[in-house]
Amino acid sequence: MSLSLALFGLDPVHLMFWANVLQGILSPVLVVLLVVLGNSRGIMGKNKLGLVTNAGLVVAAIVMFGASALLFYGLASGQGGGWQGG
Amino acid sequence: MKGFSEMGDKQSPKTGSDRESGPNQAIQTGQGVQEMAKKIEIGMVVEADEGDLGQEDISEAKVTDIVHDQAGNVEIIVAEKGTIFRKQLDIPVERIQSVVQETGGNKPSGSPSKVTISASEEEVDALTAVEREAFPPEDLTRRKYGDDLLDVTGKALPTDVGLRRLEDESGLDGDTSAQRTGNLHGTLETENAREREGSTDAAGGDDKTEVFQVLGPGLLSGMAGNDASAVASYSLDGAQNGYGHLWLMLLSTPLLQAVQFACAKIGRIQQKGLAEILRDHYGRKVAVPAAMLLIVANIALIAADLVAISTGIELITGLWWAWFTVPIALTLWYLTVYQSFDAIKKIFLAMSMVFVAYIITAFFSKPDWGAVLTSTFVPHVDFGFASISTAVALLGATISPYTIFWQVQGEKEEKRSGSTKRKFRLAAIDIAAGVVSGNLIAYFIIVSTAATLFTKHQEIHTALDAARALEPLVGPFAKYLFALGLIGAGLIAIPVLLASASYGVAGTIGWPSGLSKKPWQNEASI
Repeated sequence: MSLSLALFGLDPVHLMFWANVLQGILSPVLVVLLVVLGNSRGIMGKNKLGLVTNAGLVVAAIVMFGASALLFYGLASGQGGGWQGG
Repeated sequence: MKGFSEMGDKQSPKTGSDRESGPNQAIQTGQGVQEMAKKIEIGMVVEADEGDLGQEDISEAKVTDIVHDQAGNVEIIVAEKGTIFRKQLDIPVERIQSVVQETGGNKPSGSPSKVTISASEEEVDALTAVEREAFPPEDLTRRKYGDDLLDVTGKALPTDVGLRRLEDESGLDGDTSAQRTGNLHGTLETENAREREGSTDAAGGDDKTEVFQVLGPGLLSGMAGNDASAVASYSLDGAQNGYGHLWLMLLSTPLLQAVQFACAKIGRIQQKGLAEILRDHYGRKVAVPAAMLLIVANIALIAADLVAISTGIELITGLWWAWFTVPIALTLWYLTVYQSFDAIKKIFLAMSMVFVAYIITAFFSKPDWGAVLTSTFVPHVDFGFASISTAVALLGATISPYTIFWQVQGEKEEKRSGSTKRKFRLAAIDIAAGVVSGNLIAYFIIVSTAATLFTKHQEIHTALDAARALEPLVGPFAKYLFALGLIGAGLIAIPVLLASASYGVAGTIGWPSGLSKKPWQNEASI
């Protein structure tokens, strides 16, 4: 909570927006963990995840990693500086 | 501290002689307790034999006072628990089971002096969060469970409730049966009747699936996905990319369903939180980074939502938003700590209604429905940085670390009836309700902002700009409605964020956690 004090300088709408960008970058890591957990016999016993759920998880991870990669590419190639949204 | 123990010592000759002269059984056991009670000193650690008084976290219950009756015998010991949440307990002397005095002298390795009292988990759970409370004298309050009936119903019904009761029963049975007295049969009967009612309720759930029984953690996380910062992101996206990203919302719906269902399945089978599972199966090397990731993500979101609530208030009052953040933070923290899971659930659902305004606005703002449908079903990728960053934000607003942790924990805590297969099916319905309604709201936020702001080429720089999207519906009141939405969504999300962060931390380190625990039981994990 005290961290929010440090962020006071930022424009509120920007702050909210980038907080969500951060979620988008971090979540795929957890999605991969879910794939590992959900398909482990040691953890799930005979109730391992079905094909459809697995496919959904993998697509989610790919899409999110892909989008994050593009974002980082955009930042690295200097487009970020010219960004005016928000 | 000294004073009290000396007082006890002065009385010892008298009580000692009483014990020698009195052959009466009752007095003798009473004296036995008195003997023990005299060894109690202020500062000793108090533990319950069954219930969790919070021994596992840093703030243990300690003896703060000893009350003597007129004869000088110890009557009640007063224990205090917690540093921030002061909780005082009056413990009648009969409940004292054993007193262990410090063995290691002043050496740090010696085990500390402690008093063990008899108290069941139900009793500890029934205690209020703060205030001073007394444990009633033991033999009248110990909850009794009828064995015969439970054996039949509890085992016949493999429900969580039934299983939990069985556990409770086996835990209680050993030491309570000896203490049962004749006059307790009355209460025993009513308990049995209550149990019977509860069991038939659980059985009834198998036949008719009540909508509100099915809906639980899945719906909550779907709705929590639309926190205030997400609303801001959706608005930004609509204003910036028009209908361009609507297909992403369509795509993310089944993906989110898959993610949430995987979480639910894992939580249901393991009956543990995600952090705990990771710690138990892969060790801290995996659990700690995962928890760190959650904490970083959550701090960012909590900050964003605090800002959102504050800007909401700014829209209404006209005062600079930053003034409100700290008081709001404190109020919310207090609410999170003192509200139970059920209360949060209710606030949650009520607040979600604010979002309905967006759905209505989407229709009022007369969007080009042809374009809306085309962009919903035909993916369109724009590699511009603004477009990519909003796409990441959209996905992040939908699938975020905290909803993953929250879903595992929620499914663990939710009581569902029926076979494992049935539980999975119920969870899937519950999740689908949340995912679809959550994404539908997001979808309409984008549609309405796109129809209003994007078509007029207005960009969103402040919350006031974002509020304009609601103007077609409510005109000049748009900013108030939007402010209400921001405040509501933020209020819903922050307790969830705080709670999921605490699950993550508590699970990783190994503290007991859960929204239904009392604050002094897991004070350290907040």
